[in-house]
Amino acid sequence: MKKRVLAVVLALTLAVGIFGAMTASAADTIKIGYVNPSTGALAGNGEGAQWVIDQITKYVNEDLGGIEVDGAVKPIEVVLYDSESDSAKCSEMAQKLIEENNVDIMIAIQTPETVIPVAATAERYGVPCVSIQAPVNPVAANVAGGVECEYVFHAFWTIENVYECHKALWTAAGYGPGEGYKVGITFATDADGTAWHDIFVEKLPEDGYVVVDPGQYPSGSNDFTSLANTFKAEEIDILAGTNIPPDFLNVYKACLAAGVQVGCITMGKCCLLPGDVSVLENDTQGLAQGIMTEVWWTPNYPFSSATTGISSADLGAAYSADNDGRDMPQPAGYAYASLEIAIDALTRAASTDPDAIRDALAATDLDTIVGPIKYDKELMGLHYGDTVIAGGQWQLQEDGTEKLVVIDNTVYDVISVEGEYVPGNATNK
Amino acid sequence: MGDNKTLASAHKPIKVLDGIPMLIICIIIIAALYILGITGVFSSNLMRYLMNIFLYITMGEMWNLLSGFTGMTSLGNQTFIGLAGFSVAVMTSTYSMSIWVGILVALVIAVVVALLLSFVLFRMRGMYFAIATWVVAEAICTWFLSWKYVNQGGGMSVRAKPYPRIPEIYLMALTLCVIAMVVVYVLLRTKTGLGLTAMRDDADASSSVGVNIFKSKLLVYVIAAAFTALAGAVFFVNKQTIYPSSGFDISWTVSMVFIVIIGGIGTVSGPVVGAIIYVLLSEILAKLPGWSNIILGAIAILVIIFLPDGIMGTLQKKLHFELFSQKRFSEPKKNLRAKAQMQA
Repeated sequence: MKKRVLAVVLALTLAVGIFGAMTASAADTIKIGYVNPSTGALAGNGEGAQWVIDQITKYVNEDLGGIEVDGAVKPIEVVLYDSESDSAKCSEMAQKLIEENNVDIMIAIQTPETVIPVAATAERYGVPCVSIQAPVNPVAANVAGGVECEYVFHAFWTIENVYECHKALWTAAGYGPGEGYKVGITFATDADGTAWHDIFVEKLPEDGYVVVDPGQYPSGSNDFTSLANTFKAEEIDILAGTNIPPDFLNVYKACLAAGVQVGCITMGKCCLLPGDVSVLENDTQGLAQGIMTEVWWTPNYPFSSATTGISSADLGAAYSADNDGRDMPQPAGYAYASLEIAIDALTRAASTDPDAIRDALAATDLDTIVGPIKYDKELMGLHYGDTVIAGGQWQLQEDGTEKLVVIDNTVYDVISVEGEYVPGNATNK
Repeated sequence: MGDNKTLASAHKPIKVLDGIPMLIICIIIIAALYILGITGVFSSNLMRYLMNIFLYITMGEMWNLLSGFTGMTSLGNQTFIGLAGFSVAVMTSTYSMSIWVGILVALVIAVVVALLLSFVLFRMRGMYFAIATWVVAEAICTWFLSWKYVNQGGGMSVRAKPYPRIPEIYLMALTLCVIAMVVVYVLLRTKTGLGLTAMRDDADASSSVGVNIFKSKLLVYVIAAAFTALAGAVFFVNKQTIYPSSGFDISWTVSMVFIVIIGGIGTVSGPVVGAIIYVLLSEILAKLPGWSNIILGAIAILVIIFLPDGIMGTLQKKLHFELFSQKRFSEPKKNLRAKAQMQA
């Protein structure tokens, strides 16, 4: 009896699933493919994607009534699949979106681990791809690799720009170039870490800093005693790098245990979200306060969407209202921008022909929620556009919460500075 | 009454489905898969599904050969998948060679690594062997994460101009799957195959009656490594990008275990059924972020509890047949009647 029940359950699951898979997509829509790390190690980066998709879909389908393509006005449909933060799964899902859902345009977003496989798959199939929110250098090396990309158009900052941003933050903390300050660098061996490492190691001596490089490590390592002892012995002044939150937590705890004293900390990737910083604070008894990082976007940025007309401030407020008062995460701002670019290209192409959409993407010159986007540069065959970047510091507010305050705008002065550098517990030297 | 019925059912003759009619059916199915793929009757999306099924069948058959037929339960078959994926990526992107050269290099590297590992791994049995294979996979993964030659953890891309299209990769996967199944079937029906199952049931006893344990293990391990690597190479030709974390991920072995357990461990046809269910479920569950692994795990647990022999294992027992059996002939009815009478 039990076996019959199990057989029926298995058969029903398969039947319902297959039926669902075959009938899920509406036929007469413009389809936008979206692979998102909704679960897994990168889930924090993927937060807010569904909310953004709902906003854009609602705006286009209800407010605009759709987009005119191939002589008819059609609604848009964003098909989202979870990558489970697994790069192998990203390729599979991108392929599924193209082969099964027949998407007209693809979004490749959320760190190089997601962007590279999704963009590479889109390029291979000749599907126009809005690639965004991964440093330009690793995407160019892996997706283009010296051969011109025809269908992938990327927008984000370069490692060179993020280096300048971190240097400005060190300067704001009193550790400017040319003084021989020692910079202890912490980079994993992943795509991000390797790209940052190579540029930092090259640029730091040129600017008169002394590099203390204990070597890269596999992301997910637990024991950083050796690294911390190296920093202690070398008496570093600055701790810099980019790490996923668990890695930096382990690095920082090892440094605290070894008694490493630093004048300032700048760390990418792990300090983007209030949740990540809060974990860091709790696990180090408040000793991460004052940590600095690059800022890609906040609701305070002076940009508005030319597509939907909404300002950064209004978008941030809408997100907070719909999400229990939480601040809109930086990656969610980029998710919004990616869909803006896609909608703009589809509107201008007025066609679902891949080459027409590609040509429209190539000609993009759009004011988005994260700033102006124009694919006017090229690196190793990848067409890309720079996005703005500023320097921020997590500062303790009067109500006891931590807030990311923009304290430096050296790289892009269009961004307004919100405050000054404040020595925190993380700067114990 | 019930006991008599059970006894009668237990002694119903087992029909071995093989011989010329079965061979003809298999040839027709395989020929149809080739023809429908080549002529474009199959859509590109259907071929993508089938390609994944063929590759998972290949990997499942190899894990089944090791664990189900030989008793060498491995948790480290992802070693050969990762090595193969990186071989193709390095040969095509670093040395600008063709994908075929990459696949050939993947095969050679897998065989060499399997031969080298055998000297260490074969000193262990049971769970010690299983854990050792896993440790080896993790160690190689960690090495690749720090190895600049393969771009550390930054990953590599498979490069080719023009890049193989889905129909071409489908044909690669189909051919590999057919060869893998033929190899497993033929191997199991040889004297060596008989020795393998004897070794699985009792290694010491089989050794005492002349089974060369080391040689048998080595043969099976190298065959499994070679075919798993070839499947891994074709997988990454399709995926296009590889990272150490994706190539050497334990989830590859988890998939193989799922496929074999669901389909029926120790049966040649089991991984075929398991792979079909696994691929269909994975594709369907892609629409349910966060739930896919939970549902797959729950199904595996239910099958283990209620169908411990897997789907094909249970069907074969219930319906008294064996598909692609190790047995060379059906059991004669008179022998079974005599057996039943003796037991009664």
